[in-house]
Amino acid sequence: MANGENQNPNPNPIEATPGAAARTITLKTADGEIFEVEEAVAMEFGTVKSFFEDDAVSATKPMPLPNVSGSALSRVITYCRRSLEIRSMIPPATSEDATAAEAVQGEGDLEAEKAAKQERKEFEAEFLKDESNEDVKELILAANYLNIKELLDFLCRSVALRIQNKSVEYARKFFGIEGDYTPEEEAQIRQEYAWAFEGVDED
Amino acid sequence: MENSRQRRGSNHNGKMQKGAIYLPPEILCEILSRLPVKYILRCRSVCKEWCRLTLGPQFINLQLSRVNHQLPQLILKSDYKVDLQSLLLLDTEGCNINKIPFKKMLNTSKRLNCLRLMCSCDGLLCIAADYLIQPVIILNPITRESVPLPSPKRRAYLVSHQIGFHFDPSSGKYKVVREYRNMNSLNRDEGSSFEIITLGDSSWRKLSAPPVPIEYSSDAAVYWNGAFHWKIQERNDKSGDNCILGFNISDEKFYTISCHVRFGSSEYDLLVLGGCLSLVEHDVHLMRIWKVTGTKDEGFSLSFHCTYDTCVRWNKYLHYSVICQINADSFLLKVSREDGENGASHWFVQFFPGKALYSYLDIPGLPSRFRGVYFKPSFVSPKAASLCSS
Repeated sequence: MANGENQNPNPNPIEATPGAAARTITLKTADGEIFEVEEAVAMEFGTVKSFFEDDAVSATKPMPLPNVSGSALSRVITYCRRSLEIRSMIPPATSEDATAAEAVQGEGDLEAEKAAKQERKEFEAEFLKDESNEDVKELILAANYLNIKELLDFLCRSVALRIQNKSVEYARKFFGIEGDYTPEEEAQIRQEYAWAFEGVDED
Repeated sequence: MENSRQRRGSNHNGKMQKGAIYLPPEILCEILSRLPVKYILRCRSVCKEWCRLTLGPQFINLQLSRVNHQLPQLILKSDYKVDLQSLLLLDTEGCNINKIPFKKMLNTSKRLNCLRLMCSCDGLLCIAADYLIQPVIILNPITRESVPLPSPKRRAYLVSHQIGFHFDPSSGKYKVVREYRNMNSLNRDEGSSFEIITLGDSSWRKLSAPPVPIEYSSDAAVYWNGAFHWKIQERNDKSGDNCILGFNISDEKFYTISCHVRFGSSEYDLLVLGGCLSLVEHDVHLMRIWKVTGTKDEGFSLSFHCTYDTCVRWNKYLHYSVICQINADSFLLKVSREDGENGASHWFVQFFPGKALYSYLDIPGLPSRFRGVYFKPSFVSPKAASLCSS
């Protein structure tokens, strides 16, 4: 999601110009909670973006999100807000003059990129720290429904890291799946790929 | 992205635990394709649905596209008879080795110890013998599927066998190209022969290459910029200014790359460093790097890039080859020491030219003698690749 494609007429959506209210979009979740979100943040949601682009609907009417719960949306909004903040730390380069911008890119810009990367790393580590497996799955479904590529990418990466090197039972528990192999069938798979089953972490 | 069912869905063919949130297959693919192959294999035993999912072409392509962006691993085969039972997947970051049983993957009755790992592409390995014209086998060591390439009827003993194997985007198929010299032809001062085969074809096709002498090497052809490359013998009237022979995989045409400086040294590695085709010249203690510059239209040439002092007087008993550039500051080297009657010992070091520092890579389970190739594990099927029509 490139900043350059942001069709928001307000160039600094987070810092509202003094005196004028930042445009907000109202979202209504499956369990009836109402959220007022800054337009820039709401436009990170692909679903919301296309909804407002297609219909030219008044921004004051709440957009229904029947597949997302209030708790999930609140966390999603937190993520997108923070993500936008971190992205604004990096000075933008227009895509056309990419090579020129790179040539001119001084140490200051590289430093800013580095700092942004570090912040993102810390923020992402913190974001999922206390989330249970069920919460993470709920977030994934929300990010999928709302079409937020960056968040979905991050969540899938995190889940992959979580289940990596854990036992098969752990994976089953995490995804809520019951194994349907017979003991013989399972033993056959384990034997065929025995090398892959070495060195499993404890759950 | 479509709506997804949040609660227990009837899409899942397996059994769900009570009240569990169901993640749709596309998302499962997104998650599983990010796992290292070892764990994807494990996931096949979670349930039948997952096994089916990871066997599908959509998943295979997704995993392949991800692995292409990761640091490549190395896959090794020991030169010792005792250790021939497995291929070793080396993770240089974590410095650990996974042993993959090798014997049962091949249908050939040939002794395994003549087979060498030549090169790899998209998780498929090309395996052949240094001194025999056959067999040549394409193998995926992760899925254990193999396809032997058609063999010529004649038995031929070779003194040189440099193979290249890569996917050709223009035709959508994999191609194998090889340079070889018959043991018999040495007397008649014949040059190298070149052949090509597309995976799925029933026979090799002869190619007519420019009459330049190819340098003897146990390495494979180097694939770069849509073409395979071999080193041209230097101290030879026939080579002229040319130092590298190139062959385009798409239009199947040869070209040469010239260099206007004579290398004094006898040893040099041809490989891709930092996205450029490069020659690393070993001049006693100096490591000189030359890079290929230019374009296909205007022509390529070799130009000097930089020199490093390795601070070691390398010789025929202790020598090295550059495997890759790990990062801006360091190279991965394979060091080889001749042990007299015991043969040779091999190991890996990380060389930091800026600090003239060597860091020995302690890898448990590394055989004392081995040959390895770059490898990106995948689930691509060689059988499927040889069947598909363009």
